[in-house]
Amino acid sequence: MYRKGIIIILSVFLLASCWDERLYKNSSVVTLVGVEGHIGEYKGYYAYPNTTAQQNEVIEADGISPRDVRTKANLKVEQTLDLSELSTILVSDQTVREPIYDILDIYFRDPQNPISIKIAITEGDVKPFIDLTKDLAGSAGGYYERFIESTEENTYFPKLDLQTIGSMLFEQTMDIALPYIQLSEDSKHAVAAGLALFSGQTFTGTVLTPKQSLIMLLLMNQSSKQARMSYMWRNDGKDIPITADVIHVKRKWTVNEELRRITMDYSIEVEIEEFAKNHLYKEPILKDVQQMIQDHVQAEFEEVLRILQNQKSDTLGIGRHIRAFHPKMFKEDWHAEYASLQLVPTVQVKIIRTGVLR
Amino acid sequence: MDKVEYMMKSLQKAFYHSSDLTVRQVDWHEGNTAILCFYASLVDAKEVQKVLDTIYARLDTDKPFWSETLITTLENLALPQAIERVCQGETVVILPETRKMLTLTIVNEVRRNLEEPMNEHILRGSHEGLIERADTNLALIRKRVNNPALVVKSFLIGQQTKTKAYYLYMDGVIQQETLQEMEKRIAAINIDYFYSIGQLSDALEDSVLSPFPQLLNTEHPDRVVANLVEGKVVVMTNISPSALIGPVTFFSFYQTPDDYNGRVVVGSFYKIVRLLSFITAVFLPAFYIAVISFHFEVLPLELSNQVKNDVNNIPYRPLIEALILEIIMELIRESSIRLPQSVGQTIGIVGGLVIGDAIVSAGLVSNLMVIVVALTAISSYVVPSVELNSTIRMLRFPFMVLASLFGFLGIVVGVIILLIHLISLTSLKQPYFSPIIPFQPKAVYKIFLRWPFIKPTVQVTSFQLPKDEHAKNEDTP
Repeated sequence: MYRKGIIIILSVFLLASCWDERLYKNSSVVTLVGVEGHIGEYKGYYAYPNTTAQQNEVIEADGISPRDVRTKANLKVEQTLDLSELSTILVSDQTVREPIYDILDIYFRDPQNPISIKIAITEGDVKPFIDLTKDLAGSAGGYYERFIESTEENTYFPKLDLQTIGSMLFEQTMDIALPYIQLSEDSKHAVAAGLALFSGQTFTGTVLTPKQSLIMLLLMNQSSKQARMSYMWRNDGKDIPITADVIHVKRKWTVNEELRRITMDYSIEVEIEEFAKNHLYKEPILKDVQQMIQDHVQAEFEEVLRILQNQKSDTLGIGRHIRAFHPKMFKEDWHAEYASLQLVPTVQVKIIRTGVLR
Repeated sequence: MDKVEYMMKSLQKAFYHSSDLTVRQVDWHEGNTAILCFYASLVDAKEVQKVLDTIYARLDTDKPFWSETLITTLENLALPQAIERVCQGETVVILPETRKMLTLTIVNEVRRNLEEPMNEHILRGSHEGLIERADTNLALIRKRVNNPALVVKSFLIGQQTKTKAYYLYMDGVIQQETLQEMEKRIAAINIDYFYSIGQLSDALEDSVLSPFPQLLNTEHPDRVVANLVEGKVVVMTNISPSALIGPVTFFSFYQTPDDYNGRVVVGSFYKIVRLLSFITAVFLPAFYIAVISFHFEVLPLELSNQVKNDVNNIPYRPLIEALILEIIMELIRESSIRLPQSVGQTIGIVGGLVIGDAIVSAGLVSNLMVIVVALTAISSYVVPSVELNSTIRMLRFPFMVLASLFGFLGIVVGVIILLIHLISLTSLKQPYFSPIIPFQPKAVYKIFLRWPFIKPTVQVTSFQLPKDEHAKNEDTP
C-alpha cells in the first residue's frame, strides 16, 4: 500500500515536469498585431517590447494564412512569440474587403488568447501604423488600446472588443462598425477617422466621419461619458458657436408592418457646454437654440440612416428588434430587406442644463 | 546492630548514598532517638530547624496534636512513602520507637521571578507570565478566578521522574466528553523520563504528524483564564512555563489579548489583517512562481515590462530562485534566535540589507522575488502563536513546488488538500476548523470581528452552538 502511494506521488512529480510551463523570460510578449494582404498572401506585423532598450521591436512575416504568418514570424525571434497579452489587432482596410473572420479565427481557438482586445481598421497599409510605435516607451498595443478607449469615451467608437465582435459576426440581424484610423500628416501618430461600416463580415468601403459616428452611436443609444456636438447659431447676422453634450437619450421605435415603416422617436436631453452669448435663461433664446440643435440633429439622423441603408449595414440592430417583436416581417435575407425599409427618425432635443453660468 | 542504625543504613542504601542526602540521628523526647532525613539541595535547613524547635517545645507539654501544623503531619512509618516524600523535597523525621514519621514540607524555593513572556509580547493587559513552578502558576490563575468551580487535578508524568503536573477546568462550563477525553489521554501517557513540554503535547494531541498544532501553547495567565471560562482544559507542568490548552480551533491561534484589551474597532481591524496574513504567508511565493512560469497574462501590461526586465537575467527557474531566498530567510531567522540579543541586531542588518541588496545586484535573484519573500516573511510573523507561525512558514514550500509544476492548478489542488486536512483534523475530538466546518453562521463573524463586551451575556462553550440568542460571548483572547 505504502509502496503504491510512493510510486503514485513520485510519478506525479517526475512525469508532470513542466508540460505546460511557459517561462516568462523565454517569451516575447506581443502587444500589437497588424495584418494585411489576403488569403494566400498575408503579411503580419508583431510588435513586442524590447525591455533593455525600452523600445518596441517589430517582426514582419509572410504566410498563406494568419497562423502561418505567426509561425514564420516565430522563426525570426530569439524567444517565443506569446500573444497572451495582446491588446490590439490592426487590420488593413483592403484585407477586410474579404470576411474578417478569416483573420480572427486563430484568436478564438487558442484559450490563452485574451478576447477583451480591441480591433481597428487602418487606412491603407498597416505597416506605418505599426512602425510609429517603435519609438514609444510604453507598449505598442497599449498605445492603440488607450487610443481607442479614450475615443470610445467621447462617443466616437462603439464599445466593442474581440468577444462582442465575434458574436455579432455570426448574427444576421446586426452588423458591426469598427474604429477606422488614419495617419497624421507627419506620420507620427494615429488619428481617429470615424467608423468603418461592415455589412455582414465584409467592409463596405464606406467610412463614417467622426461626427456621423457620434450620430450613429446616438441612434444606437450608446452615448458614453461625453458626446459633444458643436453647431453655429446664427443670430442678428452673427455666428455664435454652441456646443451641447448629450446627457440622456430615450428612443422608441414604432413598427408599421404593412407600410414597412419604422418610426424612430428620439428624445435627447443635452447640456450646453459652450455658448459665448449667454442669456440662455431667456425663454426665447433657449427655445431658439433648442430648435436649432433639434433641426441639425434631425438632418444628421436622416443622413446617417440613409448611408447605413445604402451600405446595407444594420449597425443599429433593427433586424434584431424586428425578429424579436415582428417575426412575420423578418426575412432570412435581412440585408436586402433592411435596405428597402422606410426609416423615419424624429428628434426632440431638450436643454436641461446650461452649466454653472446662468 | 541497633534498630536505629540499621534503619539509617537501609535509608542510605535506598538513596544510593547520594552526597546531597542528609541522614542524621537526633535526640527526641524522653531519651528516644529519631532519624532526620532530607535532601540538603531541596530543603531550606534554617526553616526546618525553626519548625523542629517549635515541635520540641510542644512535645514536653503532652498536647494530643503536638505534631500538627500547617506544614507538618504525622503518619505511620512506611519506607517507600518516606522515600517518595524525601524525593519531593520534604523533610522526614522517623520515630522508630513509635513507628511513626513526621514530615515537614519546607521546600527551598528554586524559582525565577515573574516576567513577561518573551515570545508573546502584548501591548495592553497583564504582563505577568507563567513560570516553571506549578504552585506559582496556580496562584496566578486562582488570583483571577475566585471560584471553587475552578477545579485543579494533579497527576504525575514520567514513571521515573515523577514530575508533578496539573490539569484545570471550570466545572459546569466544561463539556463532560472533553474532560473524559483529556483524562483518558492523561491516563494513557507512557513516558519514563519527562523533561520537556513537547513530550506532553505529543502525547495529548489527536494527530501528532499533522503540521498544525492542536493544543494552544501560552505563557499568559490571562489567556489561560479566558480559555478556562470558555470550557477548555488546561494542562500545566512543574517544569515548563507553558500551559497547554485544548480543545482549540484553528482561529484560536490568531487571537491575542491585545484585541480584547484595545478598542473594539481597532481590535476587529487587526484581527482581519492577521487572518489575511495567512493567505499572503502561505500563497504569495507560490502565486508569484505560478504567474512567472505559467500565467503571465494575468499581469497588467504596465507591470509586465518591469517584471520581464527583472526576470530576464536570472539564470535559473523561479522555483530555485524562490528556494534560495526562502532558505536564506530561514537561516537568518534561526541564527537570530540562537544569537545573544546584542548580536541579533547585527544579523538583522547583515541579513536584511547586505544580503537583500547584494543578492539582487549579483543577479542571483530578481528584485520582485525579494519583495515577495520579504512580504511573506513579515506576514508569517504576524501570527501570535509561535507554533502556528512555524507551521505556516513550512507550509509554503509544498505550495511553491506545486505551483512550479502545475501553476494555478497546482495551487488549487494544494488548497483542496490543505482544506481536507484542516476540516478532518480534530483537537480533543472537537472539530479543528469550527465554526467554518461545521458551519455555525452566528459564530463565523467572530472570527473576523471582536465584539464589544457591553451586553450581559451567557458564557458559552466553544464548540456548542449557543441555544440562547444572547449567548454570544464566545471570543477568547
